[in-house]
Amino acid sequence: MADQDAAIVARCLKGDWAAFDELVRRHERPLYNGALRIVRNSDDAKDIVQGVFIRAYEKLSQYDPERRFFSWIYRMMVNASLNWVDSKRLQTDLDPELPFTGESPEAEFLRGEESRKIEEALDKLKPEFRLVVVLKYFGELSYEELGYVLDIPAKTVKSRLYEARRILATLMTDSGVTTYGTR
Amino acid sequence: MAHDEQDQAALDGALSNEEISRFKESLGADPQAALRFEALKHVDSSLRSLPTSPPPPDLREGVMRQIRLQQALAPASKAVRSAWWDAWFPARPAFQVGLGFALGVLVLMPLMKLTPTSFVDPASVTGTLATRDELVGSPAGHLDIVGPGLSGSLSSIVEGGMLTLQFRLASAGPVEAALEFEAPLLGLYSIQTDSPWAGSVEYSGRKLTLHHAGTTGYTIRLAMAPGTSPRMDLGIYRSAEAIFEAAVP
Repeated sequence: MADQDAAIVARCLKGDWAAFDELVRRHERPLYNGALRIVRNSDDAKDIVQGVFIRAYEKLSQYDPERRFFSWIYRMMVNASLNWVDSKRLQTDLDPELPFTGESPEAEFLRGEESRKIEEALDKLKPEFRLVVVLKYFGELSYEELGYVLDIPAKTVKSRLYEARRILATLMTDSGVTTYGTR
Repeated sequence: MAHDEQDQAALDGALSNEEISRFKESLGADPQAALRFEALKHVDSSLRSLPTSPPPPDLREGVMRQIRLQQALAPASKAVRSAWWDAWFPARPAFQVGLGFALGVLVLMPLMKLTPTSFVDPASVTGTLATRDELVGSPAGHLDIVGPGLSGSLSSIVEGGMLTLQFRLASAGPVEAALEFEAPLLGLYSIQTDSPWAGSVEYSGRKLTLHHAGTTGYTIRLAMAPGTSPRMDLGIYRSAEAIFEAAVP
């Protein structure tokens, strides 16, 4: 997959910019879902991801082929989404927890009770823990790649993820999703 | 290995067969640890099973439309420069120094003639969207457009060294909208449309012409030269006949 991306990037840099469409097709879903989980609004997530792809197009000559294309563009998406969240907080002076308006009521209904409770538990995590969980499970990046995306050591990613999973286990037990002892 | 590291490694599938056996033995001997690991495993599988949303169907098309537009407007821009430059330029430090000196002279020459207040931060001309969004804009002009089979509006906002035009046009059939600027501009930074667009655009330093049909909202960003006026004339033509003409203050 990474090799395919590298080959497509090389085609783009040789002037075959129609090939960029293939990069968008391959990565729009995880990027959109990552942004959606951070900004919690589908329209804003779409705008952010479109902007990120256009920025990647503009900066493609600076891309380091030693790195996976996906982690490079994923990092851009995370930074753009976090900037958006920061600016939204400044504009509205709202509680840090922005309401999640990413899905229609029908879609939410279809997701089922357990998914809803996990989502609720996720919402209760501190932002830095939630971010690591979201990126790990929706981006499927390695610890090293997550460290690069978040600009923190891989070891910190690991410890945050463990702590986040532990808190989630407790929250899910409290909400009745699981009956395991976690304390 | 500490228990949290072992739990994590087991969840990530990073343990060898031998390590898995030892881990299972340790869980068998410690019911609390076994409960803790089961809870973590449940969290892990629940998170993996969370559904993802399909991206909006027009996301990809929007990206490619913008890219096609940028290429049409700036075929020689940095984004589309050929790969030979990337290989050739870094290998020639003497050329880099010479180019840097030449650019420095070019930048400093006009500054000598300017007052400090008219200096345009280069970031506002070539910088990122984030940089420009931080600048406070001031409305420069507004125009309502009404003509035969024609309606719309044009607002201009100056922010730092950037002139932003919010241009909305609804026309029956194809028209040509020509904006002629009082002072030459440094460059066309971007054009975004609020809907799929099949028109085309021509730009020179002093004139921007949109070949338009239907209803479209355009956001046009242009880099202004320091201290110049944002005034412009708008002319809209159907089959080469003027159907609307006005000056935008």
